Amino acid sequence: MEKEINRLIDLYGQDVLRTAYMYLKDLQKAEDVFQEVFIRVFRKYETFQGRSSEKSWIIRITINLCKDVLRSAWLKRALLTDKPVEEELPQEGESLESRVAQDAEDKLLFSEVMNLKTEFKDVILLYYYHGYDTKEISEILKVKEGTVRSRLHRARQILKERLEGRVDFGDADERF
Amino acid sequence: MKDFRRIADESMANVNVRAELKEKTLVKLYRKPNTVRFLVPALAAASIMLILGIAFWPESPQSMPEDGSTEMGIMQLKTLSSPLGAPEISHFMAMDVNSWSFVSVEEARDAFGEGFLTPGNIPLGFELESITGTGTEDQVENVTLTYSESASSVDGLIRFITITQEKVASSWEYYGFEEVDLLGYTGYVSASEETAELHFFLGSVRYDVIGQLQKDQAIAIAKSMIQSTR
Repeated sequence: MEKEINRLIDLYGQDVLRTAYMYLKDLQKAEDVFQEVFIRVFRKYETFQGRSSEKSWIIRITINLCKDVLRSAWLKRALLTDKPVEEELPQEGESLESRVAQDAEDKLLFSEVMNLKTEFKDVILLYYYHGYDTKEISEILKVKEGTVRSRLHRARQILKERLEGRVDFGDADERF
Repeated sequence: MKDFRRIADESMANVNVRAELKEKTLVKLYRKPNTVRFLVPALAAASIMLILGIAFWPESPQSMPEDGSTEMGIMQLKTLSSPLGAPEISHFMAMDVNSWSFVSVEEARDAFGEGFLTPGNIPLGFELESITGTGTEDQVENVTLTYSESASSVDGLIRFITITQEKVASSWEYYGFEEVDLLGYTGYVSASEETAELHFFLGSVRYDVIGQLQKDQAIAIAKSMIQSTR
């Protein structure tokens, strides 16, 4: 089992930690959730029957734990300020101005996604970050596929409004 | 937005699984008691209560599926439909799982809390088949009432209606759905010849009426739910 848990942490650990960070906006709390996720995975691994992918199962546990943490009132107060992320230097051949402008746009988008309400953040992260389709998301969140589509549509509307149309969802995404 | 994965990963460049974090997690794993140790006495206690329930109850309780099913790795619970102490058993056993099955609408209402609505206008021929809920830990976040036709129709198919009530942080509009008036509230309906899907919000709960029924029937169900609050 130790070998198996090692494998799961190596395979999905980064996704778990970053997903938790996007919900909690706090690295320490994200690391706490990370530990708890794998403790639960360890405890429940034998009940996992492969009706979803391992990753879906683990991400679902992560999301549920993050929501539990967010429900805690004291933590909500503690999360009022975001931690700054480290700056990156522009790559060779890239002008500083364009890199700065692009970085600013990217950070704005990331920040707006981080600030979405949980039900919208759920679908945006699962769709755009983890690459799940709407059916898989409906299974992870245990809501109807139509609901996932509606939430995706609404989340995109919110992001478009907040980013004043500067976000490109791509043609394929406009199905929902 | 197509680049969101890259953007997010770049923004979280300093968010990585450190070797110490992995090590700390593994150490915790082997220190933390396995819940199986707790589940064994829990299941034993539940079994005793079930036996007592059967012994003291003259009629056979509702049958309980014994599929022992799990979904997505989270244990699926079927509450013991014993007339004695069923809510206590379901609550006790639901501590570390996120799925429930309720034996009555009243039990589901108690578990869900404020905002639970009882439909009063179910189409003729449909009977309540199951009441299930999901949530995190011991908090029931949504409840689904499933109705099925008591007799199969002429085409041999048994039709279903599901009514789901889910706690939500805020309401939203359903894109592409027809808006209908539900006793002063807005409902969003989409229907075909054989199926209908209707959603509405009251306070911090979203209600879905979905199934093999006509649009008017879905609206009548929704109105009866709203009417039950007055």
